[in-house]
Amino acid sequence: MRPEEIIRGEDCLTPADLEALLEGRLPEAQAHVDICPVCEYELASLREFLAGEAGAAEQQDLAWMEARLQPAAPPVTRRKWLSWFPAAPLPRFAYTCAAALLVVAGSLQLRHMAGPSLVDSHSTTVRSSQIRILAPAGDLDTAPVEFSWEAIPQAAAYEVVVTEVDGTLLWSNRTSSSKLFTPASIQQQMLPRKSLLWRVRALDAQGVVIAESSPERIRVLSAATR
Amino acid sequence: MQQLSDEELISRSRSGGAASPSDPYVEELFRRHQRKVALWCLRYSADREEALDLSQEVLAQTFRRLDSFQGNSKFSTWLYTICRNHCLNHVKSRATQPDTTGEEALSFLAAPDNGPMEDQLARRDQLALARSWIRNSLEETERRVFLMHFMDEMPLDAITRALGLSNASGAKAFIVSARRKLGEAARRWRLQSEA
Ligand SMILES: [Zn+2]
Repeated sequence: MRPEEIIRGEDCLTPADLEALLEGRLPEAQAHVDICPVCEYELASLREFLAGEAGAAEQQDLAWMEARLQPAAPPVTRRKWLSWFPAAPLPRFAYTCAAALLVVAGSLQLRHMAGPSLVDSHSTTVRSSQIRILAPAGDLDTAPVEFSWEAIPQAAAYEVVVTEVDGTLLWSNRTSSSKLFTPASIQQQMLPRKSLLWRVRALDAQGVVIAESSPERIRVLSAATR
Repeated sequence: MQQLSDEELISRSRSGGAASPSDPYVEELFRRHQRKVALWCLRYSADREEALDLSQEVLAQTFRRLDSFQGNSKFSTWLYTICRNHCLNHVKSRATQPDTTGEEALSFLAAPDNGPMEDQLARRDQLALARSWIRNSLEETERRVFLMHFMDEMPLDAITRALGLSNASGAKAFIVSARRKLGEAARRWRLQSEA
């Protein structure tokens, strides 16, 4: 029996019930909360989430995050950054990468969208700085447990993006080291014989892209072991 | 647009087919709630960079699932369930090794002392007992730490950070005292029921 099954009953409240209780629409649910530690805990958690009140120690980090989670720029501005694609025909893989970045940037007010980093990396930043990918590359016996590359001296962080070949984002994450472990859940999504692309970008302390790798194609030959 | 409820924003964003992240209604919806997500993620992360990544994952996942929002609860409550689960999975995946001490401590709740009488306890009696022991024996913070650790299976260091505990040994101190108190409650109950 899992711990949760021991202490959560069939009479426990749903999130919608907890919300109704908080808003005074279901006062009779309070009697259950008074006897049930699980619902007491769930109610307190929901209340804290909805209140969104940062403590003094959290204010600074929260402001830093909010500055990077700004709502997306107006559509006009956003369309502009498409212009970093040259008009000349590109190799097919370049479109794939473009699609991948579109998905990353477009998936939701991600900082790439509003922030100048993505635009800068392609339109103004000199692209002589290339990150050399170490592993994985090509066909693999099993899903890769980590991604690794050669460190760049000025880099404060690296961002890894893994996409399907049509540009659909599979996974993206950041690290300050020159490798990144693959979560088990992502390994499982790397289906056998399905080609994927991954690339890494280096960012400086201001979050500006200072170097990036070429996209690397990988393909897992057999299913993840777990 | 600012007068519209979250749910109205969602239904308007759907009116032109599948919602796009640049849809103004979607933008307004996320602008309203991203601070809550960011704060929650901050409490479940080791630093702000990690918290930023986590927030973006939560927002992206919420957007991807927006079509499946049924309106059984408000959007903010629905967002909370996504955010909570995502953060929990995150701290669990980051844990270096599973903490099994929790299972032992809870085993007496499932079948106290494995005695014959306890074996016969109906499920609902076990549940009522477990609830009353936790409710009556533990202080508020102990209850919270206990449930985060045993029910949500969060590592102790993550709990310490999520709750902003400032005592020397953080969540560990609360787990130690919670285990002791629950053990005492179980013993008292056994003595009483045998008398
Ligand atoms: Zn309950």
